[in-house]
Amino acid sequence: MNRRDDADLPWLAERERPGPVLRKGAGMTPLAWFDPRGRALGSFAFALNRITALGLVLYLYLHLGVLSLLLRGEDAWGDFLRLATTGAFLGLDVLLLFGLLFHGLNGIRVTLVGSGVVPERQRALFWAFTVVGVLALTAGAVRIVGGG
Amino acid sequence: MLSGLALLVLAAIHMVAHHFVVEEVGGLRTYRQVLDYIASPVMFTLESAFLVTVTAHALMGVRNVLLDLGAGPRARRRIDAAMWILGILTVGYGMFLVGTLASRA
Repeated sequence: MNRRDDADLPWLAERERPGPVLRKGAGMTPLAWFDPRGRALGSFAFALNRITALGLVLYLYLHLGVLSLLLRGEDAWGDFLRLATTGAFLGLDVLLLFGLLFHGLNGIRVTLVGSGVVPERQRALFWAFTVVGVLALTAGAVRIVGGG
Repeated sequence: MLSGLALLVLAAIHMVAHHFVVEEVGGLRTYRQVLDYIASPVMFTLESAFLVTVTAHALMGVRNVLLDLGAGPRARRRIDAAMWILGILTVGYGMFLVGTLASRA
């Protein structure tokens, strides 16, 4: 975002009031987080964190739906397993693992930075966790696709 | 944040138990293996805790995204109510699912 002169910002008095920070002043538009172009690394991580979050919520309900097949017995579950062990589905499992790893590791990073444990090291943490995540994703993908 | 920290442990257990323990393609359990797994009191407890924690974490996250759309006080109350109802239904159905499967083992 471009830097603006403070005098240009509307609702400055509103910003100064104590209390919860609602939408004070001219911030980003409601869906701006979805567009990380031209933003800093932290904004990119924030956007990807939310995208993976929404994907994981969708997966949670898909997962409950799939697990409902267990209620229909062994044959229904066996049919699902035949489908779920195809290459395309195993690829989706790897995508799920990516979402979990990114969301989880970024959550640790945000917690460490936000809680003041390492407030000045958010970029270093991002790259360190990226390395950890890539290693874990590679090992997981080999295990999932390789079938043990 | 607390639900996120709890999920780090519970989600890791869930993923390892379902993908990195079973010696099958994709680490997926057969019907009988699922029943045996969920019938274990320890795994039943951990999976139930995972269900409650992941549902709370997910719906609080959805709530944050929705509130970022600039919801007013009235919409905010409706979002809160919807998240509570969805959360109770999700946990209720999930507990019914794991309870039914555990009883079949």
